Amino acid sequence: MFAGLPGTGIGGVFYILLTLFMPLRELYLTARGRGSVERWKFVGSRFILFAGVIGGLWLQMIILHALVGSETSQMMSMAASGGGAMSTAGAFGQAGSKLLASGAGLSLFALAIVIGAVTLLRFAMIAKQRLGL
Amino acid sequence: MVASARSVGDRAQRVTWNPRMIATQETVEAAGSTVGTATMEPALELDLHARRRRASKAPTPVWTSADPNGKPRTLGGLTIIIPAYNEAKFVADTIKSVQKQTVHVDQIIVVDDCSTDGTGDVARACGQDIVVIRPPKNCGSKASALNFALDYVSSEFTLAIDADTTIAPDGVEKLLRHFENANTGCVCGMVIPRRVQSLWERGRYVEYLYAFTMYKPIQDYYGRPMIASGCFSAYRTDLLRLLGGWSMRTVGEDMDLTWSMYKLGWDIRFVEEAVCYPVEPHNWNFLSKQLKRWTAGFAQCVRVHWRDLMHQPMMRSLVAVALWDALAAIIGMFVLLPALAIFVHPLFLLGYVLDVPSVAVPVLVAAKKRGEVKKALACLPAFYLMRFVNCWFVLTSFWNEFVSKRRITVFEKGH
Repeated sequence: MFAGLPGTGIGGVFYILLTLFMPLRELYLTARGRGSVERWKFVGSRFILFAGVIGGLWLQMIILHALVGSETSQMMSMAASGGGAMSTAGAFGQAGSKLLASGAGLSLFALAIVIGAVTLLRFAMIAKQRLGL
Repeated sequence: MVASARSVGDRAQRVTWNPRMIATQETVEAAGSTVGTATMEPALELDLHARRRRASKAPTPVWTSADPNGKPRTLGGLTIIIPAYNEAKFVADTIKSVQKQTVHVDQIIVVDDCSTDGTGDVARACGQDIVVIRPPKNCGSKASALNFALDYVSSEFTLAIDADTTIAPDGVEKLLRHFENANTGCVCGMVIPRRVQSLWERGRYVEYLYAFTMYKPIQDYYGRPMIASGCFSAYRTDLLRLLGGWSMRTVGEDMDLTWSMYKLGWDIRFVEEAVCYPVEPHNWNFLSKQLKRWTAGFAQCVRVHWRDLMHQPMMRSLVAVALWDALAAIIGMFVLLPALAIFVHPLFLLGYVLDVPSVAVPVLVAAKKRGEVKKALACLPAFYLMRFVNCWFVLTSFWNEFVSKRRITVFEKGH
């Protein structure tokens, strides 16, 4: 998420989710009297930016479908958006449903695994500390 | 933290931290070529924590009356440190950009890190307000050179910029405003390459526009920019001292410092409007050194800080996602896509550029603001080559760091 580091796979999905969460956070802050017009403007600009990104990806998928067919374009997107995600799905032995078959679904799945894993690791650390291990 | 210049030990003259004392060229020369360690008094640590506790919605004043030139002054003073090793070609531009700032700068310190190209003389020629210090021997790293200079700093705020980086005239003012929040320990700015000519500079240009438009503003919104770029960041000096200056345990001293500040509960801000212009590596030799340092620095910071990161929900998620993405990109680019292209269909090679919309849209939005749409479009292909190269360096750095344990400890200048 900084220059020198590759990857726009689950990071892209993660940042879209963070953007989607922004209005909720702003509503909460506004309700507590800590609202800010500047921040609302920022949230609006983020939404426009991500709408542009999603619109662009959608357009690209339509073009790809037309050129190479839906199956190939879907596989392409899976391979590009998260090689790691694909391996994760593979590890679950083809238990993937149609959701996992799409690039976005795969990325979401991988993101959940990653966030879940670090959260579990944290709980394990706390437990270890409490047990004095 | 032990700066090489500090290893002179007993001979060293201690520079006592005094808020009223500003180092000049004369006092520096009087102190000789050795300096002591500006230690953190216990009272100062307590004061820092007390200030954090006092932090409230009410802004704390940063500015005081203007100087004779009408430039606003910071209350506790501002020192700008410019570490330089063989930067005779660029350091004058850097100093001039500092002198043209819209705020009063109390002290400009150039660390001539035993350059052999006359960097110190070039810096001295820029004006009498420039303090040039030269350690007895080369510090060996940027962190060490910065720490060497930190001993001479007596202002409340310290700003560090690279010797090949110029700043927009209002850049420093825009950064310093954010210290009105008493809990803000560091503020960093936007980075745009100054020269965009070679393939690598073009790739870096897109990379910066992308990272600083797409990711960093969101990280800032949630109060956790992943890194305060070392080429242009301002800090509270007492916090820097509390942390022992710039750490030398990793080769990514800026990331290390950022994560250490989070550990202590301080905030860091990213200011998109405060722009700096570094010179980026123009050839493979410099690029490879820089990428080796950056990727190894990231791996080392993860190794050093992972336990602390676990207790910070946003940071642990950001770092975990960045790690996963980097590793997934390696598998995708080096294994999956070539395999699919060979065994299934050559069209799978398109996978390398399948995320064009998600890169191009934010880059073009940022470029439009700067009136550089054509330039950004022309540079876009270089980004994809750059990303491929990044993958290689992430792979080798992670391998060296975590598998073969051949860790990079020598700081190689990337430009």
